[in-house]
Amino acid sequence: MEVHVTGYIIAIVALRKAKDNVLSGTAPIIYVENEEEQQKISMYLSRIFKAAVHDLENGVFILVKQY
Amino acid sequence: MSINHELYISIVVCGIALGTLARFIYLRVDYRQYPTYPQGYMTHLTLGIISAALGAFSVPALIEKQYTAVTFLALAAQQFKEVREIERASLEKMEATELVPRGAAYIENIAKIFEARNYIAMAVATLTSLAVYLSKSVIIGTIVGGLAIYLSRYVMKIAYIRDIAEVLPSKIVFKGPLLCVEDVVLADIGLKEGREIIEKFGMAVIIRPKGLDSLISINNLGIRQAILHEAANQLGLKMNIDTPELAPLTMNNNENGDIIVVMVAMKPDIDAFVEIIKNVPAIETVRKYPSKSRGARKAFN
Repeated sequence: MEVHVTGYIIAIVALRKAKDNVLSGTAPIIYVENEEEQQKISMYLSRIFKAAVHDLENGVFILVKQY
Repeated sequence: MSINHELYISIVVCGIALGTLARFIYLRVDYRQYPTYPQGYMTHLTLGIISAALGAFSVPALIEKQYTAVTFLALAAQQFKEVREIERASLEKMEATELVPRGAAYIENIAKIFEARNYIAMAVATLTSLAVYLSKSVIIGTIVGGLAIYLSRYVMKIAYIRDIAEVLPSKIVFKGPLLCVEDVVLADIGLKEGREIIEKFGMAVIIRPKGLDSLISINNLGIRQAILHEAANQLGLKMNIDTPELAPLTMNNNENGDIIVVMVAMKPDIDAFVEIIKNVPAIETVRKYPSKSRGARKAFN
């Protein structure tokens, strides 16, 4: 069942206005201006890293490596 | 006591023929079962002939008081264990190439079945040659052999998901980014694009266990992986290696022990999906029977 969220966070895509919700960790944080851009950047990163995008519903998206 | 030449020939030939036939019948090419290609077919048929020969020769050898011949049967058992190893190794090697792997439990199950089929060939051959020797008639031997093949089906009978659980179609509902089926959250899908594809092509079914035994069995990750593998390989996946959000999922409903299966298929036909899941083997190697335990019965009643 390695299909589940068992991997690690490879990137965080956060709205600039949700800056206070994220703090630096092991993964790079990419700030974006609006939700449209957030979707686009997350999609690109997801395809590049074969990672799943998870929406934390506070303006923060995390990308979790699956394979 | 010695056997005359003609009887000897008919004992051995009849035993080998029926034993090989038994192996051949179990070698039917199936949509899921490996081998599905001529080389694998040949390998297993040859091994089947060898095991039938061992079974067939064991009867005249014992009659002629060649008791050391029994050691050959032990050798044969060793050989069949090797068959299991071969199957396991080759299936395990192919795991990396599968988008949805079979899983260790399913592989182990297939390998064990392949080993058992050789024993069936040997047992049928032994019974046939014994019958030929006792009755001195090839026809009676053939009948006994045929009957043994027929009865062996009960030994080799496997259970399917449809035997241990009900499979009901259901619906996928998105609560924000959360993919839910019957109020159970399966995943968090961040990408809008992914959510749209899942809403359009996603299918969900609920596997409802019929009793305590199946409740425990169906929660096994091995069975759940086998279900995903079978469904994915028959309906095709929209998922690719770089779209992990479209991967098929299973989740248990902790309220009642149901299993929820979600898949984004090339051909989203819910009836076909239900049918396929019903026909997935309920892997015997991981099935549990807690209803045989007094403690478990007390807890669940």
